[in-house]
Amino acid sequence: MTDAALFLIWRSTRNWALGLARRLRSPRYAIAVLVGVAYVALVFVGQRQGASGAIPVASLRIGGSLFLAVLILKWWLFGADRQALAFTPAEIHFLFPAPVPRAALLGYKLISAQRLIVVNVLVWALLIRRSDDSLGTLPYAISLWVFFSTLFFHRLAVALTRDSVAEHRGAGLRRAWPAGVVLAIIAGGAWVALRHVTVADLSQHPGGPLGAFRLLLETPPLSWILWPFQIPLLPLGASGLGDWALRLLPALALVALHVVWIVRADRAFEDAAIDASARRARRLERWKRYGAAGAPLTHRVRRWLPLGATGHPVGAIVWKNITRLVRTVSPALPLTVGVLLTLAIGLGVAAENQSGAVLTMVATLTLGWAGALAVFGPQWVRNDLRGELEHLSMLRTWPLSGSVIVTGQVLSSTLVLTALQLGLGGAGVVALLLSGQLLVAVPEASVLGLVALLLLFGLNLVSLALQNGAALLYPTWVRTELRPGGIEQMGQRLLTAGASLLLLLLAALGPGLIGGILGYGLWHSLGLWALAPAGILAAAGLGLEAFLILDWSGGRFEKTDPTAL
Amino acid sequence: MIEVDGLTKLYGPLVAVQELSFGVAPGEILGLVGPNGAGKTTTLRSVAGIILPTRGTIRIAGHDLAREPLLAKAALAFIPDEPQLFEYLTVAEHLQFTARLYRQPEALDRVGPLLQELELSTRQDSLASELSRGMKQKLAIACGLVHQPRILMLDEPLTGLDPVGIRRMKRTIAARAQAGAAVVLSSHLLQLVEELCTRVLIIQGGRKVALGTMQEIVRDRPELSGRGLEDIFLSLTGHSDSGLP
Repeated sequence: MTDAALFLIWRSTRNWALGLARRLRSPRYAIAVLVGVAYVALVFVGQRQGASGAIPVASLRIGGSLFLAVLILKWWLFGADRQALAFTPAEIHFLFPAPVPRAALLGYKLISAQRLIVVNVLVWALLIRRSDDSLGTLPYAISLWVFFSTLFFHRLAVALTRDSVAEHRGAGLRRAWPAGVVLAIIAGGAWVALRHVTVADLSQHPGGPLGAFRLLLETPPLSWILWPFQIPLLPLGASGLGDWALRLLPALALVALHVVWIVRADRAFEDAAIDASARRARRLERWKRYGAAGAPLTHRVRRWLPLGATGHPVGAIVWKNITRLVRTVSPALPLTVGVLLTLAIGLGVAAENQSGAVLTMVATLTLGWAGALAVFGPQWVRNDLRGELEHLSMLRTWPLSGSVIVTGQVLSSTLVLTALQLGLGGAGVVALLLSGQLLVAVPEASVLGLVALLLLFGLNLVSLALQNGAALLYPTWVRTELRPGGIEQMGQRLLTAGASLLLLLLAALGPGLIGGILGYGLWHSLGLWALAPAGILAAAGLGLEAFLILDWSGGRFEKTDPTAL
Repeated sequence: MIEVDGLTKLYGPLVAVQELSFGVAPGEILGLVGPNGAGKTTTLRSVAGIILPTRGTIRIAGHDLAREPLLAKAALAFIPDEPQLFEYLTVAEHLQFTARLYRQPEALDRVGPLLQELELSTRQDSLASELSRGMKQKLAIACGLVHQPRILMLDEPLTGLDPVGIRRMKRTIAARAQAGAAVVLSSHLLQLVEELCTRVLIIQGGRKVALGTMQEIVRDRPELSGRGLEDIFLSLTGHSDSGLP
């Protein structure tokens, strides 16, 4: 099995590297890689020059061990992520029916996990350093490898043990007794340490509650309990090479202990592994189809706005896409934001002394976000053609012109984005009004607000039309943009964001100038009201641009070959 | 109803389909068969207006697909081998949406009977993502039929269906043809093609190898007389000496 496992891992890695090298021949891919590497290098140089992002050594010992203790306790009590047991469908197909002992399968799992661990080590070694850089990059990377390996191996061991207990009940519990003893010791120690601590102790400590908490962690029995959790972190806190070598030994011993624990487990984990693999495959499939924006489908929303039997097909496309949004995106985030905003405004009004400050903060935040959404929103709200490229074949069979289909798709995102801005902007205006800082009268504010909304709608329409046009021009580029990937995809995203921003600026320039000239000309006679015709003219200019882009995109849609995606 | 003349599709240097000409009359079922990579799916996709041919003309219900694509597409339905559904719409919503796209409000009256016919009535409020592979295929078929197309293009329509579903599907295809629809059916199931199709188009390497009824095809090859489509297909595509029984 070892030979076969090593062959599989080596050949897979080699073929992946060769594929990467082949892709580099494509200028588009090569540019994306270059941009990605340049970005990482810039961040790395920034890290080297500044102390920001560096980890203080003392925090590693106390904070790190506490974090590990809580994490591991959570795994034992509430279950480790069963993904640790997941194999790929091909691995299940080939390895599980093969005459291979379970220990060998687990050994293979441990070895194959190294690919992911090594990537993590590289990223962390490059991007996150300690505050005192006395440890060289290689020892630091080795220390990280020890830490990540311990973490992964322990997670796997927890998943195996918990699965065994769930599967075999009594027998499983008997096998898991050492873990039970450790958990009991931790719980007992925590109880002994915390039973005499009062709120007064915490508040009267010279270092405040945090200082008191730290003291608690550094004195027995909590310090004894946390000590084992410090072992994987010990090498990371070394002050020199000699110290590092000494600290590395127990950490390596812990890794070895975990390997023995897992490989000797010999538990029937196949069912759990297949279940975890199926879950992972489903998640990957969803990720491939919908990207990061595509949350898991839920069955929450069944009754939804019905689609009318008659009407323009654009309405049907918008209905379909908004249905998708409603059924795939959790309402928790917008609801939370809404509740928080309402609470903040309510708090601001209730707190008489500081109402101005709180409401100003709410207004600044909400209006700032509404503005920021005009720039970054089209990258985030992808409820349009960009999310439907996999259905391009089907869309092409519809008896609709390309421009109608693209318009329906672009409108779907435009309406959502503008509604978000309306919500945020409305909250901001209300906050300003309540704080008495609204500089114009309510009638003027209402009219100008409507014009601003019209302007934002036009800007969103142009921006999203550009994004969707780009999706038709470079479909493979846009399709892969959202998925998890390496440095080339980071470069791709940066390039796309930069190009989108530049195009948006260029598109807004003409309408902005025309509207600005009109507003300037009318300012002396109309005053603030001059902004209304200026805004309407600029919005009309944006609308015209959007029409031209959508018309061009429609033609492009009709020529795009879905098989080339 | 379908007139294809000199259809050629190139992918760079690769010739997927070359100078292919055929026609399908109303009420006729044309079986499109060929080995893997013969150009069947490319032909179907070209006729359905999904991909643009490099050369040649395609007329659908009297409309040139290149010049009047909307009128041509309104007359046809393409049902792919892999069901293309919106996972966030329910079964009934898929059909309502299709009716609206084809601007046929009266099609909504056909939703109930169609769901009944395809045994989807009890699942009409299920999301597409909740359906089994066979159910998804049935839903794709229902979406293809709800607007009563005059031309039906089917790519491996029986994939994923259970024996009952297969029998129903065969009846549905035959019934549509009897009602006057022109049907193109691409399948590797030669028995199905032989059973359902009035004519057969065999292609290989993007070129037409044979076209006609079984009798017409064997007329020029007396040695194949009395043989089934499988033998004829293997013989015409140069696989008769494949050693298979």
